[in-house]
Amino acid sequence: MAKKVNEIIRRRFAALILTAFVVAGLASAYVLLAPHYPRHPYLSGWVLLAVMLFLTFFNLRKKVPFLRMGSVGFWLQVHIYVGLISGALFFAHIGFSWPNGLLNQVIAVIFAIVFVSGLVGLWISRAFPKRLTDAGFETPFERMPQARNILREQAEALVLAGVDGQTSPVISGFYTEKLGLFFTKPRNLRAHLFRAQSPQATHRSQFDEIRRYAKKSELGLLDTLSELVERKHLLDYQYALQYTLRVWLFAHIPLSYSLLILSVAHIIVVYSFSGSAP
Amino acid sequence: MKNDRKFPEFASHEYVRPNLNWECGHTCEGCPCRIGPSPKGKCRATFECSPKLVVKAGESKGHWTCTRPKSGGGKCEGGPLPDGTCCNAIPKCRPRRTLRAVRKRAVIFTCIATVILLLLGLSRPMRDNLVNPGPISSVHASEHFARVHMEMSGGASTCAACHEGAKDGPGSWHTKAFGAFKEGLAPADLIKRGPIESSTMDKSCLACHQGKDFHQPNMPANFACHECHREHGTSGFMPPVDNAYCIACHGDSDLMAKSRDLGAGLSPHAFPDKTSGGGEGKVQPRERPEGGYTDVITAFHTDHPEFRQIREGIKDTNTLKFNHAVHMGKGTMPRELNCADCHEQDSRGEYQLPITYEKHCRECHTLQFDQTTPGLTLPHGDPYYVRAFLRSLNIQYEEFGRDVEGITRAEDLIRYIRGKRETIEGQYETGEKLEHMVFFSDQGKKFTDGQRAAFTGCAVCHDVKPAESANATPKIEKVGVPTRWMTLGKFDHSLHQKGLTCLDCHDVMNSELTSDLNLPSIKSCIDCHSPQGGIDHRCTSCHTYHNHSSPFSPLGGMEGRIENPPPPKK
Repeated sequence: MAKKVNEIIRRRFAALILTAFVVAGLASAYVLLAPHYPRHPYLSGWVLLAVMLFLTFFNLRKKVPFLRMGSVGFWLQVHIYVGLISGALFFAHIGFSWPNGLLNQVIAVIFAIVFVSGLVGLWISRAFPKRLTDAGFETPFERMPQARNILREQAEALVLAGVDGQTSPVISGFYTEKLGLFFTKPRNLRAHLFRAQSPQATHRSQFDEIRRYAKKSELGLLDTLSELVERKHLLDYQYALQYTLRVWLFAHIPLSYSLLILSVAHIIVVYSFSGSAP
Repeated sequence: MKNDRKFPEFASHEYVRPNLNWECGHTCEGCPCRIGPSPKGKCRATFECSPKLVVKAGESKGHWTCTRPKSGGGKCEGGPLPDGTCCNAIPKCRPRRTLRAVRKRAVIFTCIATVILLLLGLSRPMRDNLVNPGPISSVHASEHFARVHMEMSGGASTCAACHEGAKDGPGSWHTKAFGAFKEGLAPADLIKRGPIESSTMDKSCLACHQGKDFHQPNMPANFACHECHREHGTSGFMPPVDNAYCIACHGDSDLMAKSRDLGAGLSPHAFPDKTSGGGEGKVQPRERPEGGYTDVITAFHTDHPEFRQIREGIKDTNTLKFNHAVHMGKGTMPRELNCADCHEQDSRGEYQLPITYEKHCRECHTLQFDQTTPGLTLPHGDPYYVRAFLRSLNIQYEEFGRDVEGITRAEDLIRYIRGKRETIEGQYETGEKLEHMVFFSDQGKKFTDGQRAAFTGCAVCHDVKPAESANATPKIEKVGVPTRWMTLGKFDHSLHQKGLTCLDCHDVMNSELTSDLNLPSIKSCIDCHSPQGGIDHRCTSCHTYHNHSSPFSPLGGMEGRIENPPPPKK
C-alpha cells in the first residue's frame, strides 16, 4: 500500500515538474519568439482550440473502452496537466492583458470559470475522499436515500415503541418537534461542507436538555436515538461532500461546451475580419 | 470509533444504475420500486407481482398464486384477489431524472443558450458591439470620422470601413474566414517570421492615409499598416509603436542580409534622400552607406552602431573659420558668451535656427575698415559690393558725413571728405592696397574699444581666393552652416534641456576647428536612453518609419476610394 502511495506521489511530482517545464517553455517562447512571429496569436489560438477539444472530449475515452489507449486514470491525469498548461497558453494568447471586446471578454470569463472550476474540482477530488474515509459511515451516493430511510424508520420505530401509555410524551414530542424533519432529507449541507460542528452541538445540547425531563427507563432509548442522530449527521456529511464532488461538474462541463462554441465563433470573426480575408 | 461507522449493508439485489437517465420518484423517500421508470421516464408501477393461475390435478378452476419474489418480500399474506389481480398495488410516482441526466440536460441547455445568445448578439443592432475586440483610438472614433466611414462602407457598419468582412454580414463570414484560412493565415503562414505583409485591409487605411512607400525600397516585403499601428486597444491615443516591430526586421540578420542584397541592386536615387537634406533643412551632403542601413540592431543600448558622423569621423566642410574655444573662453571676449547667444532654437524648440552674420556675428565683428570712422562699415555678403564700396569711398564718406555726422554745408562736406581720404591714404597708401587688405588680411587685432573686433580683412573668417582675372573681384567661398547633422533621426533640444546643459553633450570648450562636429557619442545618449537610465529608448523616439508625413485627406468624396485606392506615391 505504502509502495503504491509512493508511486502515486512520485508520478504526480514528475507530472508536475513536466507541466512546470512546459509552462516555463511556453513563457520563454512567448518572450523570445513572439516579437519575431507576429502571427503568434493565431498560432496560439489554434493550439488552444486543439487543447480545449482534447480536454472537452477526453471523456470519449470512456465511450470507446474497446480501444486500449491507457487507463481512465491515466487520461484523467493527462486531462489535469494539459488543463494546467491550457491556462498558460490562454494567457499567452490574450497577450497577458484582459481583453476589451464583449465577445472576447465573455470567452475569457467562461474560460476562467472552467479553469478555476477545474482547479476546484481537482482539489476536492483529492481532498474529499480522504475526508469521507476519515469520517466513516461511507455510503454510495445513490444509496443515501435508502440509508436515510433506514435511519428514519429505526428512529420512528424507537419512538413509537415508547408510546405505550406508560412513558412520558416528552420523547415523542421531542422527536416530532426537533427530529422529525431532520430525518426526512439531507440537512446542514453547508455546515458539513466546511466541517462546522454546530448542528451536532445543537442536537447534543437538545438531548442533554431532554434527558433532564426523561425517566431513568427512557435514558437508554434517548441514547439510542442520539446515536441514530449522530449517524444521520455522518450521512449528511457524506452527502454534502459527495454532492459537491458531483455538482462542480455542472459548472465545468456545460461551460466547456459553451466555450468551444464561442471559440469557434471567435475564430470565424477573427479570420473574416483579418486583413487577409478576401 | 471508525469501526462503528461501517458502510451500511444493502440488499445485493438492489443494484442501482446511476448511469440511467431516470430513477423512481420514491427514491428520495428511500423506497424505490423494483421495476423503476421506463427509459423515457414513465412510471411503470402497477402491482407488486403478477399472480399465476395454478391448476392442480382434479381442479377445474385452479387458484391464483402470489409470485412476489423473495427480494420483494416473498409471497404476500393476502394473496391475489379472486380475479387474479395482485392485492398490493404499487403507488404511482413521478419519476425524476438522475443527477447525470440533469447534467446532460444542463450541457444541452447551455449549448442552446450559447448559440441563441450568440445569434442575438450577431443581430444587426448588437453585432458591432459584440465582435468589436476593443475601443478604437480617439482619432478614429470621432463623430466626423464615423460619418466618413459610414459613407465609405455604404452605411453597412462602422466596422466595414476598415474590415471587408463587416460589409456583408455574418452570413458570409464563414466563407471569408475560410478564404483567409486558405490565403494569408494558412497554418504554414502562422509560423512565418517577420512582420505581417501588406493586406487588403491596408486599402482602408490608404483611403485616408495616402502613400504606402514609406520606408526603404530594399525591404523584402511591404508590411501591413496594422502590424505597427494597433487599433482596438484603447480609446485614447493609438498606442506607440513597439520596438518589437522594428526589431522583427532590424534584429534579424537574415532579413537584413536580404535587404542589403536587394539594396545593392537598386539605384541610389530609389532611396529617400534624407542624407542630402531633402526638406530637412540645410545639411552637409553625404553618400548613402554602401550596405544601406542594414546593421543588425536589437536594442538601442546594446548594439545600435555609433552615430555615423562619429564612426566615420565626418568633418564639417564649412569654409567659415570658427573657433569655439576662443568664443567660449573667459577673458578673451568683451563679454562672456553662452551657447544661446548664437544658437537659437526654432519655434518648436527641436532644432537650432541657422546662424547669420547680421544676428549673431555683427555685434562683435563689425566691418569697420577705417579706424577713425566707427560708423562706416563695409557691406557683408557679396565681395562685388565690397569692392564697389571701396571704389566709391568719396561717395560713402559724403553720405556718411551728411547722414550720420549731420554736415550740411558743401564746403564743410568737401573738407570732411578730403580729411577722411587723407587719413585712409595715410593708413593704406593706395586704393589697391586698401582693397587687398580688406579682402586678404587675416591678422586678427585686439579690441580697441572693448566691444567690437577691429576689422582687418575678410580672410579672418572666410576663405578668400584671389580674383581669377584682372578686373574680377576676389572669390569668397560660400559659407554653409548646417542646421542638422543627424538627419536619419529626430531630436528635440528643448526636451533635453530639462536637467542638461549644452556642454553636457557638446564638448566645444576645446574645439578650435570649424571641422569639429562636436556631436555627442552614442554612449552619452545611452547613459539615459536605456533600461538603466530609465528614459524612453524605443526606436521611434528618434526614428520614423515613414519617410514623409503621410498626407491626410479625411473629407468627402470617399466613395469608391476603397475600391480604387490612389497609386502609391513614388
